[in-house]
Amino acid sequence: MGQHLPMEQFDRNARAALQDQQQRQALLQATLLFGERRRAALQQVPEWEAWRSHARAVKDHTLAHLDRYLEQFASAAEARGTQVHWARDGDEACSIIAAIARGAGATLAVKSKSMTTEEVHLNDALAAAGVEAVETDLGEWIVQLADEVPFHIVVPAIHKNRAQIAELFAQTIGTDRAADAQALTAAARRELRARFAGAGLGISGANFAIAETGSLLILENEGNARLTTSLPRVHVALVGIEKVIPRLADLDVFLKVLPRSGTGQAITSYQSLLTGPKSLAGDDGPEHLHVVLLDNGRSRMLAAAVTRQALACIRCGACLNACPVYQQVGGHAYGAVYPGPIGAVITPQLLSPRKAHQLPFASSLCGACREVCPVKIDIPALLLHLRQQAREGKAGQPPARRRSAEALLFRGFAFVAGGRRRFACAMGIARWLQRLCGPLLHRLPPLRSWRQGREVPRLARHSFRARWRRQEHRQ
Amino acid sequence: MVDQCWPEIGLATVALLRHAGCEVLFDPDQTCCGQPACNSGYQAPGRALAQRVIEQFERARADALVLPSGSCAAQIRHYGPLFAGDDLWLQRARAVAERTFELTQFLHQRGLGSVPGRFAGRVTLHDACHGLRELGCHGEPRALLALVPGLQLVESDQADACCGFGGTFAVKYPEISVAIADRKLDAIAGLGVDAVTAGDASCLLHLRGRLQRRGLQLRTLHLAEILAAGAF
Amino acid sequence: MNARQTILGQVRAQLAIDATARPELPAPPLLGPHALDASQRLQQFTERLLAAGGKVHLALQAGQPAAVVAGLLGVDAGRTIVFTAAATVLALQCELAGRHGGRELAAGADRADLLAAGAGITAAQWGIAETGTIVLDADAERSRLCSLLPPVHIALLPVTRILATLGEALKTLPRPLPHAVTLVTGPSRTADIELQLVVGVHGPRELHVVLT
Repeated sequence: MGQHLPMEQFDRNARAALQDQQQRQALLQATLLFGERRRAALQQVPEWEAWRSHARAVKDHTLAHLDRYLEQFASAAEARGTQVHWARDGDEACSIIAAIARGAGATLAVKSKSMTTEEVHLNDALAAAGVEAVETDLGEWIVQLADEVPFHIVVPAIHKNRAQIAELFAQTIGTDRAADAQALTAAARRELRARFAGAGLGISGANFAIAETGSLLILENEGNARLTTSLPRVHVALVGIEKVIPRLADLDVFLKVLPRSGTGQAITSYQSLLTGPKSLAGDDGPEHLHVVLLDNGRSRMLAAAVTRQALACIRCGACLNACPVYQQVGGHAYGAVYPGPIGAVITPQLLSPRKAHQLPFASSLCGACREVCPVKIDIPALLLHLRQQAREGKAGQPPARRRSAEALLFRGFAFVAGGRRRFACAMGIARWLQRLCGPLLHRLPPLRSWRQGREVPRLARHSFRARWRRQEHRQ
Repeated sequence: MVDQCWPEIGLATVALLRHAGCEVLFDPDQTCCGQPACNSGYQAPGRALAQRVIEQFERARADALVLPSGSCAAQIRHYGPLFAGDDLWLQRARAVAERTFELTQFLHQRGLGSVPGRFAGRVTLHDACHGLRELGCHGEPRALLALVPGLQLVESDQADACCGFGGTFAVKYPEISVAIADRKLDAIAGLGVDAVTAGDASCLLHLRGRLQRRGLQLRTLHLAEILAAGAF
Repeated sequence: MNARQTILGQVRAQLAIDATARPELPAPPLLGPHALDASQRLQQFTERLLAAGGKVHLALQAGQPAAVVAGLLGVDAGRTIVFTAAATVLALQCELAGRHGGRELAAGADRADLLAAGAGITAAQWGIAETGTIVLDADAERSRLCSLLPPVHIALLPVTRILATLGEALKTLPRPLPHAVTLVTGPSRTADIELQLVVGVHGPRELHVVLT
């Protein structure tokens, strides 16, 4: 798979993304469409708020007892013949899966869409172990052929138009450059069927892991996850520990809120409920089913309620579609597998607080994400929490740069605004400077940034308080 | 912001509150609610400013604290968490929060049947994010605008879309901020309106700055200015 | 300490830091339109499946299912048809013998046959009115690929097996669960290329539910 842009350069990535008009068009079209479809779907559901609250309540309970449910899942799964592995971090997950591939004698693996496998860079690790991993979700396969990374959670290749995809297919699998979406999809189906037939290993994620029965639930529209989990002899599912839900009955609310939130569908074409490998030798399905439970920083997020809620995420993509920032810059700018609002809060926590330091600040705090989240994650609160940690440090841990110019600026402002005379004096000086050397002032950092695209507002000749005082005097 | 850059909003607010039968007090000691500091991650200076606001309101012995700004009103209503662990200040913060209102919500709650302003023209409304999502402010500005003789309200389907200001976001990520503003303004351009109005001066100054740079003719007026147009 | 112990230990330790909120697990509520009678369920099932791009055929009289299926298969002589091991499917297979030009195959067909087949005929153990979904139990069918590999999927579903809601279906699944239960709502689809809907990606492009 391709390389992510460096996440510590989000501002640069964003600027570059804003220059790409075709990409911006495609992005706006997609996010608008999904937003409209979501709204239309919700209009059919007067009890939507009750569904959201219930979904969140189930997640809150589960996360508060996560150890118990993980143990229950593992026992129930093992009782049905599933081999359960535990991976503390991404590297461990990759070695476990590489070992499974080796044990299966597989040199070709087919994959259904799993952001968790991208989080741990599984494809690269498998390649290093001599195993070719082929993405089978159409959008993911397009992105893989192009040696890029996904642009959107639901439609990974939306930044590419038909012509670009046709060109890509012409170069890689020899299809006609004039092929339409239908023909391109048919070509992908043919090509990938051959890969499915020859794969010794199927790798998937899971949307939910059910503790009560030790089952996995995988949702999709294309059918590639069904193929990935039923054709190869060995199936491995990489599952983040936060995916566990207590009971089979709990699937109901999640299967209702997830597709509506992501694409406006009441239900996706296929749900696969998988409990252990096949039972009879002659049956379809894997002989061996492995589940790799992944931590990779998730357990750390359990410590505080404000961070714990981010683990309730069911990866629907609604927040991306609603976010004014994501709508403009798209997924690549975030430099990591999870983009948009949810990415801005989990990437610093899971992947790299240092490298991802910009992400919590790259938001206008509009709150649209919180409004559309099916499990009511308060993303703005989490953004503010991460901002405060970055600037003022966690308890016992000092922040990265205590004496930055910005910190001084805010402390200075609080000082000046802390007294009437100080404030009046400062504003007097500001007015004087505006009159004398306004344009020069505009070259200084905060105003210089403002001036990129906007005219600078002027200080009023007489402030409100000055006019109020005059009014009072007259009376 | 209103005090220093856009005093007309303050004057209009005073006129509206008097029209609603209120005695208006203004403490010239006031400065800032502390939101920019808090939202940038600096809670310590934010807390200091919050304490000032609380003390000032207590001194004034007023019945209500009314602000022509949804984001400032929301900030003050959510002062509580700033004082977590300090029960006394927490109590004082809650007491002030209970009596803090955004202007249009306050006026609407008082059952205002008329407004002092007249405005002949087509206007579209921008639902500023904090007012909309933190305070649930949606019906109130519309109900009040409906009382203005001569005014024709034209709804934009992007009314609840962020304008792109977002506090320090506007200067930290200016290109994205402006791109978001352009999307908003392009949606408004097709409506054939004379002005865009909102309950937050910061949104309007940001949009105004962009309109001026693009050379577009669209007035930016605060809700208070329209509701009291000609009467302050 | 192995990885399992480390992870569970870490989870416990982190949870202990903020042990205030330990919310109860709510009982699963009844969601969706659960109070429908049989004819309402049939109607809703049909509407929802049609909206999702599937086709519904009523074949309630004796002998009708075979006639309907024969009609769907046409007289395409070269096409192979695969069947699963469900009782109703085997019965149908007998009734269909000789009525169409396709070569028949039983369940347990090898991969090559499944990949080459023009249609797959299965039963469905349940239907869900709320969403227009059919539920396939891999143990009852002894197949997962019959409903997946061929481009046309024909499923026999008794109308009496149409449940009202997803919640009801989850409750009704046999316990212990079969190793694979598949919920199918319409044909396979994607909108990955310029958001254009293309039907028939990796799974079937046609789904026909024959209601018996």
